[in-house]
Amino acid sequence: MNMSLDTPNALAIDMRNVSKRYQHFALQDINLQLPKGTIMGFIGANGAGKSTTMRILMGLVRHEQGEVTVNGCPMPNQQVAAKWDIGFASEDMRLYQEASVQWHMNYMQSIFPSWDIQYAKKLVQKFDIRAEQKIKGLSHGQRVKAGLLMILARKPKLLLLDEPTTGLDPVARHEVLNELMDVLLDEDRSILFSSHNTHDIEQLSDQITFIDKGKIIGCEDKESYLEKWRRIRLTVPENAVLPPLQGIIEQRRMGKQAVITTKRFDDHVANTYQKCGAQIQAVENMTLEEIFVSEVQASRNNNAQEATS
Amino acid sequence: MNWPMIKHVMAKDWYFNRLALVGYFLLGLISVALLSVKNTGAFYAGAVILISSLIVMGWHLIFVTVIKERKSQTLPFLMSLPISPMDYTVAKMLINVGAFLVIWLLLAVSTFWVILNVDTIPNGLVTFASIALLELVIAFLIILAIAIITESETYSVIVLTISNISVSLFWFWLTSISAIGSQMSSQEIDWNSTVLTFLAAEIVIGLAAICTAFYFQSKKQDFL
Repeated sequence: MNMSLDTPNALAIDMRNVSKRYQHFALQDINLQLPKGTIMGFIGANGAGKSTTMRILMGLVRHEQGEVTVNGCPMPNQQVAAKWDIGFASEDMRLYQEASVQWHMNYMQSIFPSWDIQYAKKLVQKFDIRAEQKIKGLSHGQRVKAGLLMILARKPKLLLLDEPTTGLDPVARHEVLNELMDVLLDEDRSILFSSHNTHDIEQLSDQITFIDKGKIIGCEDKESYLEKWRRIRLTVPENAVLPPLQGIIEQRRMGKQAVITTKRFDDHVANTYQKCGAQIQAVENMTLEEIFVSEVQASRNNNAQEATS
Repeated sequence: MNWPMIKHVMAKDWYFNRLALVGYFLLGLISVALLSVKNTGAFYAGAVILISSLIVMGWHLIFVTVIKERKSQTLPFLMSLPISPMDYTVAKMLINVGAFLVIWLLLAVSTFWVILNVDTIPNGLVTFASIALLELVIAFLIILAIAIITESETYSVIVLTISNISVSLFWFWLTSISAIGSQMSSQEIDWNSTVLTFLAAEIVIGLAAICTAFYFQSKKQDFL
């Protein structure tokens, strides 16, 4: 893509300084930009603010401050225009129990001119669903897949998926993730995929955003996270003091053993420790889950320190 | 207003309620037929079935189209379609009021026909029946407004219970008002000022319930 990210048309999602306050929870100063043609994994613990963010993007929750634009449409005022090109699925979304999958497909077809009948049929087979079966007769996994079918066959430009794989068995999850990857073959289509399952996100996403307690605490492309974050195991002389390097998230020492977690690992970090007399025992890659947990803990520690100072 | 999508939402609600609505209508017709039987027991049975079928039909509509949408978690699916919360409110209001009024009107007309054509039933009953039947519409509109605003089964059931008790007490009170009660055994129909005031007040309350629902919906910050 040659478009600059400053060009509104280059962004599927543009949230700037968005805040929303509830009695016991606040979404604070959210800045989130999703370039067209990318998949962003949106990771947070339960209650972190993922669903609220998604609902603001759908225009179904009004933000109190900031600006939200989806597919170039300001939200929530132009939500009707925006929703023609948004496919939204959430963990708590259900189809109509008394109606069949085919009824839902016919209903969606009657609404969306973009409905692709052949693709819908293909998905029915791929997801192992019987079109004539009523929703109440489907298993949980089949219901989730049927819900995704309803949005995928519309071929929307943007998919907002709020924990879509929760409760799916590994086979169903694999089918769903594969289908989502196929969606991205069309480079104009974008996905914001929220989950607390980092394995799914790691498999699927180009960009990763971490959210905790209503604040975005990290946003980078996946490769940067996986390349820069390291756990370094050191043997350190008793009296040696390890320098406070930038990017150190956590430092644990037990006698001569030290474990450092850094989000800015490079040769300079290793050389600096060695100059202090430390011996590097191992430099370990971190999984996205470990990175997420470390980032959350660091953010919470910072918040606690700020609160006490 | 987003009329094409409002129609789609209404069509969906009609699909899920059409058989039940036909059933309530047939039950209503049976009750009207019983009213026309020249027998006191049949008359009272017909009146009870007519009133009950209208009340239950109203509650059925509200429950399936509004409360169940939230309770069964189909609201996120519906709101993922290109509609705004206000489109949703218009659609729910139209399908409920439309479906209820069509059947209510057919049954009301049938009831009036029976009153005016069966010798044993005094024609003067028309004024009482008008106020009583319109009160069922008002009770329906109030419950509908509460259901749309709160989306809560509990609140709606509370209002339903209160309105059902009120309906009986209201009718009992009506019969004690001489300008209305005295006509119930008369062959003359007298659209006097008391009757017209009651009818006008009911219409105002009904419209106020609808406006209140739209007002609170327009103020909602969170729709899901």
